[in-house]
Amino acid sequence: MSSSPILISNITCARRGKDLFAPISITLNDGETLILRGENGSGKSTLLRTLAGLIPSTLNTHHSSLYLGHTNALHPSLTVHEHLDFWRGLQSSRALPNSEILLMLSLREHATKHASHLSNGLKRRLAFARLLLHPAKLWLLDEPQAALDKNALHILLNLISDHASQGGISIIASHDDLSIAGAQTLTLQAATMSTKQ
Amino acid sequence: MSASLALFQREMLLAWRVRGETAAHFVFILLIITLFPFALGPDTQLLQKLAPGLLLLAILLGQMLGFERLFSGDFHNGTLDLIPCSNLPLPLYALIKSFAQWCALFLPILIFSPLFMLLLHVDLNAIAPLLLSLTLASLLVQFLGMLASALALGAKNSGLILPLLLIPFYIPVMIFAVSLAAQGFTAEGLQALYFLCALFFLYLSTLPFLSGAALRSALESL
Repeated sequence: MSSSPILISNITCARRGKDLFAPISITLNDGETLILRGENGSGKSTLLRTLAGLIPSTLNTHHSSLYLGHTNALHPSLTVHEHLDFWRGLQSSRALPNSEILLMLSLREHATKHASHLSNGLKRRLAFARLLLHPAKLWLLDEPQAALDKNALHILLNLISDHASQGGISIIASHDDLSIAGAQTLTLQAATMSTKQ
Repeated sequence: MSASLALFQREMLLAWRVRGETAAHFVFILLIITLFPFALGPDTQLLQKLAPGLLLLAILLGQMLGFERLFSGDFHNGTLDLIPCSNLPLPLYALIKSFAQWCALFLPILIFSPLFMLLLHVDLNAIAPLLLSLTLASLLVQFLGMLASALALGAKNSGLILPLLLIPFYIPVMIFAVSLAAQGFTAEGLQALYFLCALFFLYLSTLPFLSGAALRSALESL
């Protein structure tokens, strides 16, 4: 992993010609975590998708980033194992075997279930496997705690703090109070009338 | 390469998992082919004359039924979000998805189509050119469907937009395919064959890139 800080200056996101939030600047050093806050529709998801390079912008998204949206990218007819194999094939990935990933996410007893038979929380947990499969410096997580029970939330927080301890950076959009030590918080403010068209 | 293979494997596995839907295409085409002779009445010569056009029409219209689902599943469940960050370029993703759909839905039909041709009293010598024309035409239409379904992604009435987008492009494919099937490997038939091959390479070299661009713009709209 390269050890350059992530600098984002004066960025805003637009939808249908309207700025969603007042311009923001972000500086994140290795191992830092940022929690994005803001009302519904304030542009948190759009900002994350922009940072992930899914929405074109003037930012050069040269950092390898991993985006976990609020959809889990699961197909109902594929099993847990088959999802892991597919994701592994899509990208050069760490040599962590499936069994170890399932153990870390405590999904072992569900390994042969179809995604349609998983509860919402289990689906979310399976989506976290992508964080373990692909090495990326920047994690972009959109409401990762949605539908999680206490244990699963604990797993998520552990993943994030492990990532941070290895110098990784996370940007997390969340409404809840995630207890992450040393996390910065940024609240997206609605764009002022003058910047609106 | 391994990313392409992983996607192809997944698509084939999914086609097997939802084999009821996969079989529905087969049954649709089978229905048209078995019912048509009854609708026409007992005129073997007329049936023989109409058979190539009927088979083409049945397969090409059957294909249209599958296009709405080609990318919409991955688009809505978020799998498409993973592709720009993966080792798989979007044009290649579109091409593989589309080819996998053709393999799952239409390769079995093409394999069985000589049997259908016998049912329709097609002349034995005409089977080979007709089979070639069905294969090329269905591949061409698959390319067109790939672009159309990528363009219609995220549109509200994609079920309505898709056929309207596709019909004008079906026409040249139909004309040359029927000409090849009717003329066989004569000079005129070969002309049609060359034209179909030229279209194949034109579509292969352009449409995946256009589809990739359409998919990217669909992602931006999310």
